Amino acid sequence: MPPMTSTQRTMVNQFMAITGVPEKTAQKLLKTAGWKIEQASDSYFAQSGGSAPASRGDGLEKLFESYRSKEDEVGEMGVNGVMKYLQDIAVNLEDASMFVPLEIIQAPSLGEVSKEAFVNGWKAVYCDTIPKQKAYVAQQISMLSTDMALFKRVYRHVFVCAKDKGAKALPLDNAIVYWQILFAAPGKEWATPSTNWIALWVEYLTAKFTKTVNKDMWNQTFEFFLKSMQDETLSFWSEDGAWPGVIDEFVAYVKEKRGGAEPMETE
Amino acid sequence: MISGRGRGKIRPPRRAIIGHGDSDFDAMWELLRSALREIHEKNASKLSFEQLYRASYKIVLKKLGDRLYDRVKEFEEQWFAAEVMPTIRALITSNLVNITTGGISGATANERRTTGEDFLKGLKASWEDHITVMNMTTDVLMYMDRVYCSDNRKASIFTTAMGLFRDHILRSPLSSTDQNLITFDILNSVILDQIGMEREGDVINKHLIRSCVYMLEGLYETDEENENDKLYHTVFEVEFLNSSRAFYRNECLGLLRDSDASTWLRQTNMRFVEEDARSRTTIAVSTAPKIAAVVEQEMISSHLQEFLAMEGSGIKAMIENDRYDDLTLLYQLISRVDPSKEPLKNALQARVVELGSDINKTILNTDFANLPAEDGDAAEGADKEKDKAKKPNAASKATAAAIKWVDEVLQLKDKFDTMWRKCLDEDLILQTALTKSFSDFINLFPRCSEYVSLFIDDNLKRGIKGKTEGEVDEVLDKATTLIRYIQDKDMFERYYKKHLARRLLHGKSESADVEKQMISRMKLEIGNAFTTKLEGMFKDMQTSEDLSSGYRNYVRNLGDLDRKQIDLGINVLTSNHWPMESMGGSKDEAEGGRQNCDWPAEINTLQESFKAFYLKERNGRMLTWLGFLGNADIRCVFPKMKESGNLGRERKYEINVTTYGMVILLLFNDLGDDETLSFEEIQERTNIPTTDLSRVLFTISVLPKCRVLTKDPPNKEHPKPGDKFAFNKCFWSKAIKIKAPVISGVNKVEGEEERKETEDRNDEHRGNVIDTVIVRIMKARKEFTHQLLVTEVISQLTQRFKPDLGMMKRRIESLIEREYLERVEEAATPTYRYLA
Repeated sequence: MPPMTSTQRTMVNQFMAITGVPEKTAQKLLKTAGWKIEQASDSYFAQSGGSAPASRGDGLEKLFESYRSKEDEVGEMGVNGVMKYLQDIAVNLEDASMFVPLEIIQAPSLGEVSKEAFVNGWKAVYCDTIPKQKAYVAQQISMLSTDMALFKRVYRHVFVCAKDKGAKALPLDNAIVYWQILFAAPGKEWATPSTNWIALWVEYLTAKFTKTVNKDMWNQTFEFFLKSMQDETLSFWSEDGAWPGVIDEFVAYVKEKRGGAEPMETE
Repeated sequence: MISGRGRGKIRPPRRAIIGHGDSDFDAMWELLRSALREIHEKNASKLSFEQLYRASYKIVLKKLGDRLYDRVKEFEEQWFAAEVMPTIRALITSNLVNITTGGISGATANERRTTGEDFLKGLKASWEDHITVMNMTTDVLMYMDRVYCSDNRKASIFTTAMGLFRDHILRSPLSSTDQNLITFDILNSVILDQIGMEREGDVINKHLIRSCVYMLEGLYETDEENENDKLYHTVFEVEFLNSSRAFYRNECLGLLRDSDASTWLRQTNMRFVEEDARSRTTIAVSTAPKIAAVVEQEMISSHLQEFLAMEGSGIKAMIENDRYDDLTLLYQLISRVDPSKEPLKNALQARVVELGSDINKTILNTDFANLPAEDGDAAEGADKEKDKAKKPNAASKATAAAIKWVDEVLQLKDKFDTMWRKCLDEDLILQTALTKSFSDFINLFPRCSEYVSLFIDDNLKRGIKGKTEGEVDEVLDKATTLIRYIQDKDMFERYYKKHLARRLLHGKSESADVEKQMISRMKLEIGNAFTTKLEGMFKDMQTSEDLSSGYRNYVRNLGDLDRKQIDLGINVLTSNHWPMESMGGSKDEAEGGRQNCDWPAEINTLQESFKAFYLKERNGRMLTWLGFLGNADIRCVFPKMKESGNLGRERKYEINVTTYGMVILLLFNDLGDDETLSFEEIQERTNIPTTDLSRVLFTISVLPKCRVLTKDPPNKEHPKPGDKFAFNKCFWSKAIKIKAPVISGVNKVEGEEERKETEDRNDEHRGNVIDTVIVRIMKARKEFTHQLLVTEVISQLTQRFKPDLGMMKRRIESLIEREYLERVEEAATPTYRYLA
């Protein structure tokens, strides 16, 4: 068997944590599933009979209840419970890693989790105990800066749980804080050899932008992040494109800045 | 073989002839040869045709036709060599050779012409002789042609003889030493030389040249006499076109160097005429299109741009100075070379835009010179007033400038229209191009919509007074043309509504009929949607008249006549037809809530009474009273103040003031002598918005025409809080009926602030329109790419205005935010989806 990459090794460890199978079996199963941990665990549990999910569901409910305090409404976990839970699965509350479990359990806001979402979220990845969840989250965090699909999921969920309930948009100041957290390790840093994009973006918004950040702007910022990481000359941008106005203006801002500092790359 | 031809009767006994043998041929040929000689020497009359015919006939019968044929050829060749060539050679002087070889001939033009003509004459004579001779010879040898030549597929003896002329005369070298130079070259160069002389203005013998051309047209490259192989086409025409090309190239360069465009046009045109005539009279008609093409290429196409750009005579000067002849020629010449008239089109367009931009610039500069003073303090329009005479009516000046702009644009349009009709043959391509250019520069002018509407306003108010129907029509035509050019129709509509509202409400319109004509023209030009609201306004005015008289009847029938009657004339305006926001009234944000003023009791009763009448038949409607729009006639009595003079007796006046003015004046009814009311008190009791109040008070306490109140302090400033007002007992006026000046009753150019407001409102409106259009499109398409959506929106709105790309994007974003649309994830090109 060829040596495993570090990602694969994490996955194997995680798979062992979830299923409790020996390392060899874990490797084999993961390989057959094309190194997709969810598929691997799916097929493992499918083979070993349907009993596991049901029992895990019970376990998850118990786990959820253990964090719920009396003041919280039925089926909901309040802010204290969430904080304690996050500490228990050992995520750093200061950086992007915090949002990984929040995305899994689809927290509707930072200090709130519903039982249903909690159970379903963990059930889908077969983690019914704190150690398993801890391992899974740790593995996901390690992939945050490389797996863009995962990063996008987390990024988008941040908008959901960051805004006030019922609000349609995020105040600019908050949005900037979240951007700064997301576009830094363990998230993906938004910077290319010539440009520190996140700094520029924040600088631009602080100077020129006065409105709140709506969902479209939040999501499109991510698309622009992806594109600018691939092509820092911004040649993908065109006036006729469908970018939101704020991005258009940001591009103009960047171009003006560059024009002043150095001649534009001839692309 | 002959028996088959059915000519048995005249056939001589065959045997007898055959019996003679060879010696017979020699005898016969000798006979024929001497006869040919006689023919060539023009002594044919002595000869017996029958005898000669018989001789040739016999030879052919004896199957010796080939020998006869060859002998005749041989004879011709000898004749040419011995008799013809020497004469021709004698005519070829060294001069002619020099010209042909490109050397310089020492001879004068005259000498050249004579020697040339002599040569041509000689050649022509020998050709004509040759034709005559060969015709006779053919007659004599007819049997040979018919039997021998056709059986053996040989060219007839005539054709062959023509070929011999070509080969032995035209193509014979001039001297044995120089094989390159042949008679033909001399011929060409002589003809070309003569044509060259004619181009320089000499008179030449056209007929002679024509004869020589005939000769060339009668000769062919080969004896097959292929139509396309006439020597004229294969040799002479080629040379002619080449030498003409060189000539015209030089001529054009010369003109470019020494002359102006006008000369060039005339010269070129003359050359076309000349060449055409030359083709008809001197050379061959078939050459006409070819030489025309050469002239077109060399005289027009090759240096067209340079001539167009010529300072002082190029297209700019032609347009400037209305040089219609030049332009006509230019149009004709350019049409020859380029059916799309691209150069002319571009030049005209550039000129229109240039002249148009000049007009724009002048007006903008005028505006800047005048407006700043007015912008700061008097945006509300008080600058109409007389006390500001020292800075003479900046606004009305600006209005005049606006009308001047329109006039100048129309003049420019007229100028180009005249030109188009007179010179450009009403060319459709050019018309489209001109229209586009006009539209371009007009739309470059930011205030075109406003100015055009003002122009119409001005005309409908005063301009058409005393004009005949035809003249009015002309004005309307012009207005319609201008409207057609305007891109932002919505902006124009906004201004037109505003101006129309003022005209209607203040009774300024000169003729309702013309107003309606204008509307129906716009309907035709822009469409129904554009005019519905305008028509609504007219309808409101009509209904209001009926309402007023209906109300009068109603009141009369109430029998309630003991009450002090106020006569009410009312205009009921449908709020979404009328541009409420731009018809005046307070724009003060802070006082937005104070729209309703507190009406005096008398008026209140009247209002209630009318409301009752109005709602009787129209239940559920809302009536809002707009104090700033109406006006009232008030009878005012001023006491006797002095024993004599103007103030020596009681004075009654009928004063016409705005509705607000009336409300204010009524307050003073209840006031004792020498009592005053402060600005605040008046406002307190009437609830009129500050700006309106100040404006109204200004008209009745500051302006001398109708100063029925006194203001303290008595200065000429606009009334402001803190001022005190009292009844002006000493008011005196010559007229009994006085109309208090109405501010904002006149349509004029907007100040910067007002302008911005209008633009903002228009943008807001556009935003809504764009929203509607986007939603409508997306509803139909469900999913649509960004690009196509933008294109579609533009095309749907093009009738009304040109939407701004940024604005469209903002609208799309806003629709996404409001969840009418969403972005399609992972789409290859940006795409939106409609959310039902």
